[in-house]
Amino acid sequence: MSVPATLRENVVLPAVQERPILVALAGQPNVGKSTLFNLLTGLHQHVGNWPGKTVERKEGYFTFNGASYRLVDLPGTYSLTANSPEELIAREFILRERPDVVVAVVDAATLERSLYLVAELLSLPAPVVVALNMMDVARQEGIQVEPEVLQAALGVPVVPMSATRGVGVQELLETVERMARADLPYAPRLPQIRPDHQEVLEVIGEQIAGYVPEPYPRDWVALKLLEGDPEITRMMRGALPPERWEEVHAVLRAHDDAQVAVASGRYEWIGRMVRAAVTRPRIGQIGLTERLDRWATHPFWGLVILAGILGVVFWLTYTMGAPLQGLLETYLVGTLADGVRGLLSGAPTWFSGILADGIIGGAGAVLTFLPILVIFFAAMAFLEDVGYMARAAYVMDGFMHLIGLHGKSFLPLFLGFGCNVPAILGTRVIESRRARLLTILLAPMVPCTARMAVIVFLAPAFFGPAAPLVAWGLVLLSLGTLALAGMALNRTLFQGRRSAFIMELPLYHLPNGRTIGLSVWQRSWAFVRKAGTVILIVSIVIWALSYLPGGDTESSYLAQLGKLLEPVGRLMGLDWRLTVALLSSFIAKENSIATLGVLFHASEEGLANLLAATYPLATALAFLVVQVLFIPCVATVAAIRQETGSWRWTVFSIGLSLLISLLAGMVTFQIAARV
Amino acid sequence: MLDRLLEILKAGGTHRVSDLAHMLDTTPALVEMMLEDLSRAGYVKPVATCTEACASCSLAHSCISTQPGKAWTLSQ
Repeated sequence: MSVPATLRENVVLPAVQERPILVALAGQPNVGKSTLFNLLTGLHQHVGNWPGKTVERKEGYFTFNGASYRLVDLPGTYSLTANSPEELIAREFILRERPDVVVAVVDAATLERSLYLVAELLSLPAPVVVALNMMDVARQEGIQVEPEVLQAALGVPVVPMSATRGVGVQELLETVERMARADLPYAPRLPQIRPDHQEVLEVIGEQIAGYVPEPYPRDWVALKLLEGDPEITRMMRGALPPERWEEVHAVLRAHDDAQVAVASGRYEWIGRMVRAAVTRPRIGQIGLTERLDRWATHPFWGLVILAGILGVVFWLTYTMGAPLQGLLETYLVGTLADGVRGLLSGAPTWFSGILADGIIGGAGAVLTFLPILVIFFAAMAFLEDVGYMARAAYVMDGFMHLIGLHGKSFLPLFLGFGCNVPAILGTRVIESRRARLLTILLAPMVPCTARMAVIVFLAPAFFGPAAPLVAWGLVLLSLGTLALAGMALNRTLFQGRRSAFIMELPLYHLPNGRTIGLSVWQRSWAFVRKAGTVILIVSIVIWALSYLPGGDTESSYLAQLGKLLEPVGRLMGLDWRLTVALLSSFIAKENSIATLGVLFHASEEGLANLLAATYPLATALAFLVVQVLFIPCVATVAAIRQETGSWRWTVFSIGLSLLISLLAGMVTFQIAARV
Repeated sequence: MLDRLLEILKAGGTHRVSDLAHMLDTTPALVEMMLEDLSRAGYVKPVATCTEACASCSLAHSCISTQPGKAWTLSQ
């Protein structure tokens, strides 16, 4: 870092001058305040604590043009509203020590953020010089700040600089010197508050006149009272006679919106300054984001694009993943199961059965779908990383409003695409109990990752090349059902309460391979772990139930249970095996596949071929429809019980899912069988 | 400006920060600052993102919907 030569000459502590010129450095954190402080004071600095506080106090000396300066680095703050010890220290220092000059260091690249503090500094009794730092960073980001315009708008000197490069430091010191000698025009334009509140401010000013302790300026104290500043309120409560305090308090109570009005004035002021002095050319990333968002967040086209993207994701997943899955099924599951049977030819039948049919046929069949899931996860992670998922959320929210749902219901439901459990827990953001209940009832209708996984597994097995279309249709069916149920319940439970929802959409950017890779790894590993624990155990239990008591599947306990329920299943075209598969999905959705794997001895011929050969398309479609709308998994039901605190609502939710899924399954089967 | 933002939010609906900035004839950065300010004053509150909501979920790692962006909602 280069330091102007003039700063280094005569670096001696002040001796001749009676009192060094006191300069305070103010600014928010990370605007280069410390860089400037170190640059000016070099080794002549002292670091300690502010009296009675654990906040660091830095102070140093330097000379410039023969005059001595004492420089105090105030704690980094965004405002002076007594929100934190740092803010209190900064404003108390200026009020009590009355520095000759306050240098407000602002970041030219994020001028808005820095100007709030400047707005507050200008109302304090010390002249302010604005050090417009990080001009180089702003330029790199395509932001043009015009110092002369900002100076004219603020009414105080503005010095452009880049402290890290030592650029503009000389000019800053010259300005500080002239300001300390009152050799510069100084007419700050202060933020204004609304006329009605201006009158209130004047009334309070008159009420407290004569009672304000030194060194506080009356107008500033009146403003802080109006803002509800706790420190100043406490101080004036002690300083005013009780009856006068009551009068002031009554005025304040009658204008409890004044805090917003005062802050509002400052934001108007910042807005004016930025409009005047800052130009952000709409090029590059921001321009591209705006152009893309014109379509991606359009109320209608946004939904069309979302549906299109989802279709492409399914198409890619199946086109690339299905052949890989087939290979794994043939060579891994088939070969492994044959090997196990060969090795255990002398062992008891039940032992080779549990290994080959239970574990390899069940949990193994689930694992063969890993390539499909990896591609699916990669596609989703890609969309997330380039910034599209936030847009998907945004257009879906618009859709929710269209069907009468409210912003607050949306986010929990959106979480449901990952897993229904956080969706149910996420309803805590909704205050109204009725709205919350409604959202809890709707959440299980959102197709979660596990349900999507089952669709991703079974659609190609049944439908071959038409799988992407079927999967896409099933997601639309889920959302359509959710919309219809939402509208129906909304008419009865919600009564037109409005709620706002604000989102900050990230800029689109190039995907990062590492981020996507990490996300795919985490999700895939979680899936493998689940296959190795819950699904493995359920596979073994299902195998045992399908083996006992006599070793024959058709007369097993599981078959007996399945056949008991078969009359219901038959309405949807389902035989006892599909009915049982559906039931086992209550433990975890992926168990449907594991169960079918066990029941069809999938390790021998491959589950996909067996399923396709066994069931007509109408049955297959009805099964997938029921599967996607069926009772959520046990973890979700437990979450519903926990969050509603009521068994009645939990049972109602299960009943609702059961009713909707069975009805949809029957209708699908009856129509599909006739086509 | 803060009071106008509050009026817009009280009327309900879904808003993007950039839309709000356009409506108030200002920059998104200033809208974000105002939202943070309103959040401190208790008028709006940040919506729990997935990372918070998923803390107790065993499937948190496999969650598709991580943070969809910063989001706020009206408190009352």
